Amino acid sequence: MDATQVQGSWMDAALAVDGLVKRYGRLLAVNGVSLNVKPGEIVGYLGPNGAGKTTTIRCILGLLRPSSGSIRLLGSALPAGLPQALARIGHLPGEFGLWPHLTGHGCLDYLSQVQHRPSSRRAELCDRFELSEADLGRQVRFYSRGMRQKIAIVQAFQHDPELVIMDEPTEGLDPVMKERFLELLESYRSAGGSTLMSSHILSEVEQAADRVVVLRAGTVVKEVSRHELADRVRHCAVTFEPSDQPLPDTLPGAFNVSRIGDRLRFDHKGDMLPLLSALARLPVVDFVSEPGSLLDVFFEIYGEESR
Amino acid sequence: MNPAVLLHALRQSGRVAIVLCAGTFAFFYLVFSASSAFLREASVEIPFFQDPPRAMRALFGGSVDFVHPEGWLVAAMSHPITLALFTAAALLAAGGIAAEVERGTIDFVLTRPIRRSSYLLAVAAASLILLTATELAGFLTTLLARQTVSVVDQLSVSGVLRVFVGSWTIFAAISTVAVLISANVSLRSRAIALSVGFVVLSFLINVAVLMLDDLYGLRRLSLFHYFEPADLIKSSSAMSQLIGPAAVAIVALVAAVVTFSRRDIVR
Repeated sequence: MDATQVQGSWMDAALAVDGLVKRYGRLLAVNGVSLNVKPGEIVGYLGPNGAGKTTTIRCILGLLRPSSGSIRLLGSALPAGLPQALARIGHLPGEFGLWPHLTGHGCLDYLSQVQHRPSSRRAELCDRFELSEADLGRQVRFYSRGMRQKIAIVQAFQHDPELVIMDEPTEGLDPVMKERFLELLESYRSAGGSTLMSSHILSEVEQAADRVVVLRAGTVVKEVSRHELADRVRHCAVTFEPSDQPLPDTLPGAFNVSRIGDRLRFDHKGDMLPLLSALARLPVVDFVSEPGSLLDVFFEIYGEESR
Repeated sequence: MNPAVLLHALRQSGRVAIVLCAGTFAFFYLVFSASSAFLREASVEIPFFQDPPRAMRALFGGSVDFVHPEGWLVAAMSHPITLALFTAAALLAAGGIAAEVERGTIDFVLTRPIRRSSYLLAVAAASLILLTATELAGFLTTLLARQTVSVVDQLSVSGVLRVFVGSWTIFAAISTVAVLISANVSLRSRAIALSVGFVVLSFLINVAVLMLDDLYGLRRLSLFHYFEPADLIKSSSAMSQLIGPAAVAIVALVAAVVTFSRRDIVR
């Protein structure tokens, strides 16, 4: 990639962070993080507690002042262009509170007023997350954790932003609402919206993200694309017909092979065709192949001691 | 200044502000009712009332006069209940910034297209509006007492107005100092404790200076030194004393805008 291309991608990205550093006194919270989110892309931002995910997000949104590095939000360089960019952004903080004496409607109205954009999607979002008029008319101090999270999701999307930045967005949601949230993300992406989402729930990131950026001790240690996620280790098991013929000790592309009776377990990565061709010549009763989860990628980076 | 934030801050403090205004009305009317009864019935020949002890004068801001209605207004303005009511009004909205940081609600607001200075000025304006409402309650009660309570009608409207303007200026300075404190801490309780501590310290310095001649050099350190209602009720020239607290208010507000715009929002 030449310099022009680099500059082009930097300029075109919905979000571009380059060499972000954030220090709190002697503590280095974020150390040279570079990441970008392209228009219409969902990027998952992964890392264990204290890795610097929330600090990165707070720097991007202007809540923290970066020690160094540059940030570009929807074409505006920060900090000068922050107010213009924030008008077109949705944000869902990780740990948040709501105004206890306001109703759900009151919270959403207030945030809509300071957004300076009409809440064109509010009704549809409330409907999607089953927030009834009765719910929205109650003071939020009576809300459960899940209800507050729904309000936070609605406020992030209600003004139809071009980029949404979320920190642990499904915290407190029940499985049905988590599914609705993932559907919302999918439809938002289809409509051209861009998303940066930090989460520790790997299965959700895996399901939603086009690309995953993994952070460790304030540094980006891995980026995995959707293609790479698809083309990763698969956990396979083959059951053979009971036979006097000797069974093969290995198969094309297999590793971590183990045998229990007529059953062969192994991991496989890459092109499946040679493996399937080899299996076709053998007395196979059953063949199961499951993709390794993002969890495997995560532990590959962080080591087994993280388990 | 963001009007949505201003309205929100006023709404958040509205009920407490109504209670403070009602309390101010009740207290001032009670004081003037008592003054009327006292001035009609009590003997003013008793030396204690003509020349109260220095410690008592110090507690009432330097002047005690129970034989004229003006003296009762001065006593009411310096009474701990009035100080508590006006301090509460001054701090009510000012502490809101730290409260929002502590609660995490500020994350929603400051990630919208609103400048931090605009947010802070709206909170400061709300704080001054609530203070004005409470001072206005005291002023209007005094005017009402002037019409309905005998003897109190001797008070001049312009003198009363100067006293309340003076009080407003002092507490406006306290309010902006509270905004400065609130803009730089992340815990509501700490913001309130520091702001109340500032008011109490300022009050105690003034009392100490009025009681002990050796401490007279410290008088300018107290905001209450610049508020002498007995002088304000007599002449408009005493208004020049208010330049000091007005300057404190402006400096505190500028410092609040600068520091809040630069700080990291962390809990």
